[in-house]
Amino acid sequence: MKLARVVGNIVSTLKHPAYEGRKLMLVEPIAPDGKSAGPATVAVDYVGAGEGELVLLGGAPGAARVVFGIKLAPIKDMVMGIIDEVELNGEIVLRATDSP
Amino acid sequence: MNLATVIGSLWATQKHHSFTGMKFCVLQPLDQNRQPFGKPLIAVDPDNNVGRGETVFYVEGGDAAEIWENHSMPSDATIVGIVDSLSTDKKGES
Repeated sequence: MKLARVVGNIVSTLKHPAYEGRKLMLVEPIAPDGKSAGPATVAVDYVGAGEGELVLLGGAPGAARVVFGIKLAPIKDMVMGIIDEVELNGEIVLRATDSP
Repeated sequence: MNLATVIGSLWATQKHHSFTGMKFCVLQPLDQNRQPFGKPLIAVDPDNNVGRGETVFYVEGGDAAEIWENHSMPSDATIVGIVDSLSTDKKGES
């Protein structure tokens, strides 16, 4: 799983049925220091995260089938948690309040 | 899943039978500022409803191979939606 920050929301009408009724967001992977760690990806929200929040991004192939309880889910990236804080070597390096 | 813009199409008369009736698109991946990154790739457009210039999102890897029940296809990138609008804190609604 990866650390990420929610940077945007996506509206889509024409989409695969597995995405119906689910919130789509643009999330940017970040390093533990809060800096960007690559281009943003599209993710399906599972926890009710909002723009600017630090989140846990993840999803193994097939994980969405288990999470959403549907038979077929061509969904790879999901927001699985909202991060409160990250500790590295005894030091808090990232807090929810750090997000802009 | 990634954002991408459709920059072209690809036709193949001879293809795996599971691709019958489907179109292939040439996609350029986009970042959060809608700037291109990485190299273009080929993705399956399973519903044939994507046109050039549109912004789409696609799924890669094992999840791209089975998007309908009882229909597996040897695809590693499949378009799963068309973006109507995208709002980011930097650029606002667009």
